[in-house]
Amino acid sequence: MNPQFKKGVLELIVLESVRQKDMYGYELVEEVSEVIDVNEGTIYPLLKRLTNEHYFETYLRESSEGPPRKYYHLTASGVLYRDSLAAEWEEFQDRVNRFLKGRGGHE
Amino acid sequence: MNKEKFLMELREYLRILENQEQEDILAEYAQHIDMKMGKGLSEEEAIRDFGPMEELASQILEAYHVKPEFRGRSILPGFPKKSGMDGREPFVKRAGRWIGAKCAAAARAGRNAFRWLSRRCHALAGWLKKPFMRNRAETGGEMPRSRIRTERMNDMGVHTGNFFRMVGRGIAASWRWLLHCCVFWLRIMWNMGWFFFSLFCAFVAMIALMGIGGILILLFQGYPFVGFFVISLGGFLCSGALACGGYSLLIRKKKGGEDEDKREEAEESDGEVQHGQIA
Repeated sequence: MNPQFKKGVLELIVLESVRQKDMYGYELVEEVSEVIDVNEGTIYPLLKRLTNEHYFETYLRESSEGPPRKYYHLTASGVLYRDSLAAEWEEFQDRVNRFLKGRGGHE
Repeated sequence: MNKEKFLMELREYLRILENQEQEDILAEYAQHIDMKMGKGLSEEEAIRDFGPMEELASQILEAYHVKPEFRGRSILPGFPKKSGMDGREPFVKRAGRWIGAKCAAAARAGRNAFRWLSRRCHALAGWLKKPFMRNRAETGGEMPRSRIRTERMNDMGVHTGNFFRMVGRGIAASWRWLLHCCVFWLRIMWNMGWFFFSLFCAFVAMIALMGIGGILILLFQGYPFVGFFVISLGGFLCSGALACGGYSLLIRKKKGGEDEDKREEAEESDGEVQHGQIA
């Protein structure tokens, strides 16, 4: 897939994943990788940024294996942001689809 | 690349961030690598999945709204490296250069001071040696020049210089003679002292030797004089050693030194002869 496409929707996918369930970093990376093929290293900076912008909260929870894990939780403003992004995506996708179909119709 | 190296390199890129943040990010990556390895991937593979280090670092820094170029080493290819303006590394370099410059300056100052001191010492030594060095100096470079000057003076018909020069020479000679006398008498006293000391010691040693002889005879006759024998033996050895020590402290003129003195005298007379001819 075009890396520019990925970059745009990655944020939305991450937000949606965390909205469904609090997750720790590696879990989230796996979840996102199932949807789109993405460089694993790029997700951590994204998580950092969303945390810094207060869309995520983090907390530590002990794990049965290895050190405690840092879990990400979507905040109220995070939910709002996710909704606005989702709406944008819908509209964007709709327009692009309509344009492509319209053009296909002409041909 | 192994995990340690990866984390260390990444930390280099993230220096601009607060330590807590650095730790946070590195902990995440460390955990990620551990998890991947737990799933059966090798360390190498787990790290390779992160892609190029520079890209990764610039993405992390972007998340903090930090310009990725804000570092000593530029992340973006082709970004010109600015020294002294950005990041911590240049500061460290600058500090290093500053310290280096200071050290060099200090070393230079120390060397200059040492040179100055050694020059002073040389001057002092030269001044002390001056009365003894006269002849060598004259036979070396002084003589011809003075002769040339004398000749020129003669050409101009000026003779007064000679008188002052003679007076100067007389004073210098008497001063030298006085010094020689002092040294001579000091040496005589010193030598006399040590000579009589070693003479006395030698005398004691002789007496001790005589004692040893007598006691040895008595010892063979059955007298219990072992103690006395040992005492007189010790006295003999002790006083003998003292005598030798005192004798070795005598100041003697070396043969070479006498030769030199003779040569000096010869040169002096030679010089005077020449002066006489010129005058």
